[in-house]
Amino acid sequence: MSLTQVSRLLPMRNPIIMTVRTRTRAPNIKRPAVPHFTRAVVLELTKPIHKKKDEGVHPRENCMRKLRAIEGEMKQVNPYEQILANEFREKIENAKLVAIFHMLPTSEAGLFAARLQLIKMNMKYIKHNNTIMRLAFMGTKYEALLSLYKSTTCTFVGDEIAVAKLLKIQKKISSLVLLGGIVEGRFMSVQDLQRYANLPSLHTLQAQLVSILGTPAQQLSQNLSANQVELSSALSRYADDTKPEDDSKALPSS
Amino acid sequence: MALPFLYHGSFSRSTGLFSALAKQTKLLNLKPTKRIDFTFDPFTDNAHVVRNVVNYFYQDKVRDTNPKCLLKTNVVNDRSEPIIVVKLVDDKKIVFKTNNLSSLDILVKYNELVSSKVKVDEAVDAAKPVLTKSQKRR
Repeated sequence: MSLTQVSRLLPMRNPIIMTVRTRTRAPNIKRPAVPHFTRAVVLELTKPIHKKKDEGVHPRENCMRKLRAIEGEMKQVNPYEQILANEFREKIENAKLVAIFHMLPTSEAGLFAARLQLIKMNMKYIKHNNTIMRLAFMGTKYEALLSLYKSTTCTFVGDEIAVAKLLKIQKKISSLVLLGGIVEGRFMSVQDLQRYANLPSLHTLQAQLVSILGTPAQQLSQNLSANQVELSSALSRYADDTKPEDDSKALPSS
Repeated sequence: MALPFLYHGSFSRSTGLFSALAKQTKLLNLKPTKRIDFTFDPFTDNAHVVRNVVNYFYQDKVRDTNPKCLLKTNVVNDRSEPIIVVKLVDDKKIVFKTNNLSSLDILVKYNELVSSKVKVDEAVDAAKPVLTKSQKRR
């Protein structure tokens, strides 16, 4: 390529290099020499007076609080956070058991130990920041959960409804504090979870329900046959009372 | 007018609330305490204050000042106001009713009432004269 053709390509701009000679030491910027009083006065008086940036602007236009509020409204939702929020909401909707914990400051090793305990119950660990939680739950039926998602909070999601086991395990985990949970779509506090854990099994409850449903019919039949039963029992008692005297009289003659 | 060549002001610029919290956290000391109970109902409005304070107290650095001190968080569901009960080694009890306090208020008060005791003790130790080797031999 010829020189003329090369010069038409991307032009290179050589920087302007100026050598400045200083004395053996670097110039003293940190502790400048205090000038003579007269010199100092002149320097001060001849300092240029620059216009303020916000000259003529009313303080109400510059109010930081107002500007921040406007900025907050204009703030766009981060699309990645929106995706995470949607995924999280789906997981909560599909899971049978959700446990919400407050995370105390621990090392990764401590957190790993806690997660290990809960993996035995097939519970998966999810942690997102509170902004994502607000995106996930604001305006949905899970809005009540937002009261728990303050400060450092994490969630464990699983399909095994083992509430008693969960309560037992969480007492041993020092780095997590149970705040509440969702069992089969029902939002429960810690007290509710304890009550749920103390409930008898479903079969027992069904049997109890059946007996409760049958009691009015039972009572009705009892009431209807009560007089007859009393009469028959009275007659049998009378028969028993009179029978031995007849037998003793009958026997010696035969 | 003031001449501009004399130094005044600080080089570091504090970020307000966060630097105040950091300062108080560094001053936190659990030596005079035997046990701290944090009780809150997570569904109340001001529970997040206690939750934040709990995070400050459970830090390893703070706990290392007194490994024997017991820290316990109790989650209740009776809509009671959040409280922090600090039981000291000399059987005194301090109750923080934190419903209308901020985390900074709580830390400042704790440092004023409890952590300051530790400094007093250390100062007493420092007041003892340091003996030289020859003095110790005598």
